[in-house]
Amino acid sequence: MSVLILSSAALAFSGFAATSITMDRHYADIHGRGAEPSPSTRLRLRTLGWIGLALSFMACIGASGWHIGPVLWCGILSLAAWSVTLLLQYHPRKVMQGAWIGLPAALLTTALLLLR
Amino acid sequence: MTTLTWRYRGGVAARTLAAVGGGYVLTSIASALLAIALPLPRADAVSIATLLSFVIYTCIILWVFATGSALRAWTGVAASSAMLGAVLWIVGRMA
Amino acid sequence: MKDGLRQSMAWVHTWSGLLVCWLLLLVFMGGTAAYYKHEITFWMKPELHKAADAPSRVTPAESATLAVRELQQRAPKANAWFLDLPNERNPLIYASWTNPPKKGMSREERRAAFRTQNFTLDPLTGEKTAAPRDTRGGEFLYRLHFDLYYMSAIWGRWIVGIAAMFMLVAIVSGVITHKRIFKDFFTFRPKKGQRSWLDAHNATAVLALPFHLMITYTGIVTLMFMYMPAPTKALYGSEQNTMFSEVFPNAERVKPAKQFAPLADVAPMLLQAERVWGAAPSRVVVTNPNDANARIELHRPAGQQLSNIEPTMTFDGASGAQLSGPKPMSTSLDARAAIYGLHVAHFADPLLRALFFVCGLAGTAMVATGALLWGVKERQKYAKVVANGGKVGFGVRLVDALNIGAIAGLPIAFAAYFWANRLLPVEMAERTNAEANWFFIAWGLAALLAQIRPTRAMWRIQLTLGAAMLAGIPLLNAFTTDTHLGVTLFGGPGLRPVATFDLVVLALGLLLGWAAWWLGRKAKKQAVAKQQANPAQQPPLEAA
Repeated sequence: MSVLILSSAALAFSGFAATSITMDRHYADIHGRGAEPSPSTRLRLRTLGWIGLALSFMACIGASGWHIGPVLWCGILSLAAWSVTLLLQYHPRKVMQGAWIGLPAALLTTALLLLR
Repeated sequence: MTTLTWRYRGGVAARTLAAVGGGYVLTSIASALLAIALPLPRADAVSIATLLSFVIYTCIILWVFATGSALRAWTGVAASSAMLGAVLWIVGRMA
Repeated sequence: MKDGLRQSMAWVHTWSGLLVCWLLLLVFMGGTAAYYKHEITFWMKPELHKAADAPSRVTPAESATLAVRELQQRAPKANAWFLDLPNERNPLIYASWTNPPKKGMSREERRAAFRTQNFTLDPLTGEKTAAPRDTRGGEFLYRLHFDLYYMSAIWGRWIVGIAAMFMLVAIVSGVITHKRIFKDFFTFRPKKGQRSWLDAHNATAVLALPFHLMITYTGIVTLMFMYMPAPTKALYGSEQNTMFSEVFPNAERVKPAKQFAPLADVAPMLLQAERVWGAAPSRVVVTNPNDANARIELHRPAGQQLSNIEPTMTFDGASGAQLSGPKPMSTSLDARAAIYGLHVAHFADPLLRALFFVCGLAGTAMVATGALLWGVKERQKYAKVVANGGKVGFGVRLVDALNIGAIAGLPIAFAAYFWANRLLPVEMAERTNAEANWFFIAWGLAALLAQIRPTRAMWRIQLTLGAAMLAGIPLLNAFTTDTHLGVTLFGGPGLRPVATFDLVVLALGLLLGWAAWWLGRKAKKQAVAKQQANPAQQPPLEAA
């Protein structure tokens, strides 16, 4: 159960990280002033980001059911969002690096959910 | 920045009264009507109507302050209360 | 109030927030603490710690039997017994009972009687634990956040309810007025003065918006029939009791038959419940013990559903036969119970409970940063006046003072409550009142000093004092009890709540200490900047 919850947290972080990078302000935080993501990068990262958030939700449902799961998800989202916010300010590169955790987390989550 | 004229203060006071006081009255009437109108057993209707009343109250308060003038605010709250109040009274007499 | 929805909502947001923010800080801090009220109560009763340390190898059925045996001796004629069986949050057996109130008892006497009608059992030995000191523990903080204090509960609940409505309006108007809510989602820019306070306010508010919206709305719902009686009046007239019995169909108590019948053995009942539920009951309620109409009601442990009304299994107390299950609740009634349940979060396991706690702290920070932001913004209007040696306006001074008194003063009050618990003599009379009084004495002093001198220095003094008092609690614990961090960090799981309490107050104290330090650095920087600017500055011209 707690593996799913950890995965959910990783996915939420990754999802928020990905979507935050698509925003001009935060892309510039990472790549320097005036830098803007290309439309294809924006689309790709946004899609991945939202998929990450959706998977994060499913992981919470898997961990705690349809009633308590969404409540848990909201709490995890808040923590993930605060983490991304602080990192974007103090260690912007780590946001990009940290976003990669979404991939293994997604695989793990899908496997765990399919196995039930 | 608006200068704090007495007219302005009067407007704020009027809206506050309309929102908090008038709003409570209107919410009470509306949620009472809602409870009566809901095609549910009494306990269910009273629960749903009471639960929704605070959403209604919030919307009324926000509308009172968003609407064009304090006069409009009062007219809106007073007229709605009167209309719904009349309906409530009629329904009460019919039961 | 003016042209544009955003502008009018900004005005509403400012005033609906500002007028109640200091009360809301009390409500938020008390409510957030209340998520751990059992752990706090346990920490505040060190006499119970020894019994909790040994791992409990006693089954729930055995625990219940032990408690019933003790209750038969102490309160055979009570009208109800309440047993709380050991679990991760409460390692001991708690039993209490209610007697029909004697005629002529005052409310104070009844309350005092109720508070003495309980005991704690060590599940390992079945013996009563050492008598804990008289304290309301975490229950005081829990009640504080909706009953307030020094006033009748009804008054407190109305005041808090109105403040909660203000808060609900503040939240919704805040969302409407926040123009760049998506663009600013991840934005936090420190060291930029007013902008940074706004960013902090946004981050603590928006990034936990579901929680804040939920906790405010559900808070109002907990007392919704009191706040909005109109639908009840419309459908039930003056028969409010009928409404309650229909909305809470399983709360009815059967009346005693006034005929003796020995109470059936509870152990097999608990085993049966455990078979059906996959987990042992958390609570046993015996109505009319030793009466022909006795009922034994087992409650399923929380964690499976949002509603705070757990399913029950009821048995005839005289024959031991299982009675028909609880009346099923309609979707609407379930929804109401789930909404209520979301506020009290009984279902929350340790992780989820910690998340609720963190979000509660965020809510506190949201209110605090909002109030501070108003002060910073308003003070800017007086910048020129102050530069020329004048004073800020009345509003700014008042808000500054109230901010210090609440944001820095309340932590001092909480700490004082815990210090009082350790330092007040165990045998003193009216001990619970004394502990509560110390909360308010500390808060009152802090607030009063803040009104006299609402300066940055006062901020640092109070933040430092709060930091020292909170972070000092583990040390205080070491000097006043045997279950300090040195013991609890390495003890059994039963002492974990004590260790966690010490660590959390330590962390909060360090946080306040950091804030005090940061303020000191800021002051130094500003003083240095001022000095450097001065030689270059021309003497100011005569103001126009």
